[in-house]
Amino acid sequence: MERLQKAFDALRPTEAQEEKMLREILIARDDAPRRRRRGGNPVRVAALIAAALALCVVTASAAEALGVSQMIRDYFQQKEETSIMDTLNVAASGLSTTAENGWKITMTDLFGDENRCYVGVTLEAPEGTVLDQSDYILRMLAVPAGETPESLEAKWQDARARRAYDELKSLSEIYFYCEQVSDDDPKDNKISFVFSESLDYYIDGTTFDFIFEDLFWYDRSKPHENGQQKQTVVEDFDAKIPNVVTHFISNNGYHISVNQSVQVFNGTATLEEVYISPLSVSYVLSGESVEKTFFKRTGSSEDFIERASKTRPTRKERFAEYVEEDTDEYWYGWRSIWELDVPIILHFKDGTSQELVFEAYEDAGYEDSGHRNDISNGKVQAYYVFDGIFNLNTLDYITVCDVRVPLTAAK
Amino acid sequence: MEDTRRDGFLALYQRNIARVYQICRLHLKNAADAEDAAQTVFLNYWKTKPEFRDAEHEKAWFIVAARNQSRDMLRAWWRCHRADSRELEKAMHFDSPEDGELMRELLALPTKCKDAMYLYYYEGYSSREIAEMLECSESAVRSQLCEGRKKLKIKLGGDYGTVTESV
Repeated sequence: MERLQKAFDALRPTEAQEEKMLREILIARDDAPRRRRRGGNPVRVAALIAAALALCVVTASAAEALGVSQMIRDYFQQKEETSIMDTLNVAASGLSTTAENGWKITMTDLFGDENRCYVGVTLEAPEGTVLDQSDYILRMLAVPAGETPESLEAKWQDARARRAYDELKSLSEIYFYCEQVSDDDPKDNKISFVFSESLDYYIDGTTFDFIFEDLFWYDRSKPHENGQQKQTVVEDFDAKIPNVVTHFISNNGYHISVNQSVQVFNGTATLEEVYISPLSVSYVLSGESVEKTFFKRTGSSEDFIERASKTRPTRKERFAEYVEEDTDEYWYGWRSIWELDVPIILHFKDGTSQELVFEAYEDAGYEDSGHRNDISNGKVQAYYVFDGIFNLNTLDYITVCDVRVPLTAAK
Repeated sequence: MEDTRRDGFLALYQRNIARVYQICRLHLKNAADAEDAAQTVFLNYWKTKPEFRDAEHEKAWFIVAARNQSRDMLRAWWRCHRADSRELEKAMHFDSPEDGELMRELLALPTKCKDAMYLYYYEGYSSREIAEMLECSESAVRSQLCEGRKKLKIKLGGDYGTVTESV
């Protein structure tokens, strides 16, 4: 008994941990109302596949097409921008699967650019079922074709053991942020969703299996129970749409090579390139001040790589390490590392301009802006996802780090 | 007014953080995950501000919230890549190898067993109180305690207590 109690005692937090957690709670509490985010339900929580996938029937095959569906147009509420919508390269429209329980899932759109992926999905329940809630959540994830979360885990561990850090990101499942779109007929058996997720790595040409787990909703009229809103599961699926090829990215955006020296992060860096599409804009920085700011905060680069890759930490954990070692860096840590430092300014042909302020975190998921650290090559890519579909024809040039980047250089 | 609220929150944090963290760590094994989960529990408290009848009610609320939060996080995608109990053992200091072994076996118990063992043997709740808290039957709690003890005994030998309440 005494040993058992001692074991539980060993799980108590240290005083330093208690203080650190309290500090982060107070900051997060004060910060929460200012965070900007799309409407709808954040679905970062997603389960691993608990059981083997049930048999399902997939109809149609992957097909590429130009132009998004009406559902996506409604989602972005930009009907006047039909011409832009028509130019988007969409993959895998019309793919569907019917699960054993009779529910039909149709992927209406799969499109995106180098920074963000969108998936439109329509769900049809068996006749007689009424889907009348306005905030259903359908859990969906994408895994490289033929893989399962378990096989990915094994490969991830293997890559980690070999210190093959560049492979790690592509050995992850992609979980999507889910938003239900408005329902024309709340009394029928159909509902639609738009999924979105920022991309950790370049996926164009990759073949994925899309897995659908369950449909549920939160009753927001009821108070939280034990700190959480209660999930009401409507249906479990365990269905998938296999072998979807993501040939949609390269045609949707432009890379503009810059390669100019800039002053940023209290030092000199190189603005390598700017990327822009109707969906997002991003830039790549490298060089001395980037290395110093992002890759040599504590210890050597090797130490950083080892630590950052070892347990796949969240941004909070990662920067919590800095708190322990150098409190001065805390403010520049997980909370808002890029928030004010390097904005992008869009200059329009009509003489107006718009500054895109970053609330950027690494591994930003469904947030509108974020950054990716290419540790091996010492590069940082910051991206900003537009609220809607952006008409590039209205744009004259872009300014990043006081460098004027004309769109005529796009290729 | 803000100062009063802040002081009240700090007092509540001090009363409950160790317990919340312990439960989270028991489930999640990894210190960083447990910290994340514990922070979320307190942020959820701040959002909902439930009114507690008394100190026991407050304690029970945080226990259940910590357990639920941990279970939710266990389902999240990145959990599958986190440290296992062997890594936890490496990261902690134990007086003897046997203590390390006990910790590993404790963490390897089924989730329900861990909850019951912690609440019964560490927090001192009765099986009836645990049953109310975890929304299950008293006999289920006793069965979980029995299973937990048996597993620890089989693997490690020694005496890990008995349930003294009448069945």
